[in-house]
Amino acid sequence: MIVAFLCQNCAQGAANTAGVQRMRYSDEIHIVRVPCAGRAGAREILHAFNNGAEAVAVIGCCFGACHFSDANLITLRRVKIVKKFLVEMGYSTDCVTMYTSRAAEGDTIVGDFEDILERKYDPETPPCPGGAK
Amino acid sequence: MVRLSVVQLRGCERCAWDLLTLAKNSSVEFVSHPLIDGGSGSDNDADFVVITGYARKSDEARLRELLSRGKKLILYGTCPYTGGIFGLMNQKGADVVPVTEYLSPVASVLGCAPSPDELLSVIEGQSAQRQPLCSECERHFTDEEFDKIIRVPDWSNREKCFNNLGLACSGVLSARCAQRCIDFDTPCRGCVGMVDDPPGRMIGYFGSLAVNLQVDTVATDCATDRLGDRPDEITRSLVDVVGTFFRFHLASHFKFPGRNPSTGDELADIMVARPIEEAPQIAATIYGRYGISVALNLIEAYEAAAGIQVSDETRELRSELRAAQDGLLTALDQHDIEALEGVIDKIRTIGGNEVLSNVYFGGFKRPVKSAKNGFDTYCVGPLEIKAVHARSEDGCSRVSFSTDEQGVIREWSCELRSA
Ligand code: SF4
Repeated sequence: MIVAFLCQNCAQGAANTAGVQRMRYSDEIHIVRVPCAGRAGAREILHAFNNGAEAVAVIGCCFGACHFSDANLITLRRVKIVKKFLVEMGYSTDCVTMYTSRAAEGDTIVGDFEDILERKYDPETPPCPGGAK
Repeated sequence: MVRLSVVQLRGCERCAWDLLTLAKNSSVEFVSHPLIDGGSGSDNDADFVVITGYARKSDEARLRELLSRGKKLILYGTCPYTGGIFGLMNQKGADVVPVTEYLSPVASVLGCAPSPDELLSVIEGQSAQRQPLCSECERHFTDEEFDKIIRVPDWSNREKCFNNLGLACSGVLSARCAQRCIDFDTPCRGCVGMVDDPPGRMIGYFGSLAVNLQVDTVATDCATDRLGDRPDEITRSLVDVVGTFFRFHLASHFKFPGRNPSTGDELADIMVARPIEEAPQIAATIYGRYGISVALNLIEAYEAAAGIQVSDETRELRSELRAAQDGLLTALDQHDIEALEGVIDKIRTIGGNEVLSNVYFGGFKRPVKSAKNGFDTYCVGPLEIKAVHARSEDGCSRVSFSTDEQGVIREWSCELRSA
């Protein structure tokens, strides 16, 4: 299971657009809609891992386009600290990543989903906490 | 008269010997105490069973047996509650677990180490007074973001909150405690958490103050951005996320064991991967009754290898601490409670607290009451962080370790010498 935290503006918008365009993405992705990428921080990411997520993605608006000032930039730093935590614990740096997307373009978010899957199944990197590779 | 039975699981035993000082109190009787009867006493007559120390998964049967005796259980110290500092072993694949996975206590007294008086007030039915630590700190926090993460504070700036200076301090989500590291220019690592999920919240808080730092991003095929994996200001300067944000909460807040190889020595597994500036206090904590000796050897070994000069007054104060180390071993061996109290007082006077927050490379962080000369003759200087191979020994322990160029301990060995 991959948990994707989607901000309700750009990221969820892009997922809706992808739906309207009938684009496909893997059923491994479980979407959790959040008001803003800034709402998904270390607590939510670690909670997802502790409850069985194999990888976590936080997807927000493009830089400079956050609907709440600059919370996506703050989350970027928080996610980077969590990434470092996982690496220090001996897990893959790819277990958690942050992306941006544009609401009008469904392929921006479907591309992100594909990227997460590709990284998750990359045999060259260590596993993620909840997931065998 | 309240009858207590103390059960020591694994760990440093500091909580157990602190509790021993209650024996002088006429309202307390120990029906069993591991440092007096080796844990062979019976808890049949006990009003409360006080559990200290950390547990591993293999202790489950013992804990379930304790629970089955139907006694009122009190957890004493952070270790039983969250796995404590020993939870850091999990980074190297260990299975430290909070004992709350197996039993529910009637109360918990948190701290590393807590004050025995808090246990008494809990027994008397007063609920623990949890005041925020920041309300007692001489530093003041604002919403000011920092431009750089620092590893050693500027000893002359005592007004600004560590977090605003770029040094993570968990005081924002911790409660007042018995050790008060913050009084000795040592950032709080959160042994008395006041909120659920302290590590997650602390990363959130520190991350939001880090918004000015450069972070690596990569363009995706759709011309959007992805967080990158190349080293950046955050990864370069936060050398130990596990030890900084999860110091007392790794076992309770991340359920997967780390994949790093174990050194084969449980305490070395805690020391490896810790940055040199945090190492003395960690060593003083986990090595228990030998903590003073190990911490001082660590400090002196690094000073010799890195060319840090120390004054005669500093040496003098350290030898007083070593005398306290010997006194502690003797008092514990002889179950001499009066001597034990005296020694704990002496350690606090010189070392600041029981985990030696005041003792540092190059000198002391704050004035010591028993010093013969002025503070300027033994105060700390700047700490240069570098790669060293270092060793030092005294009558109680022999320490040898190496650090990498970021000043992170990569190899550690410590031999203890029993008297
Ligand atoms: S976070 Fe730490 S340094 Fe800052 S005010 Fe609180 S206790 Fe003091």
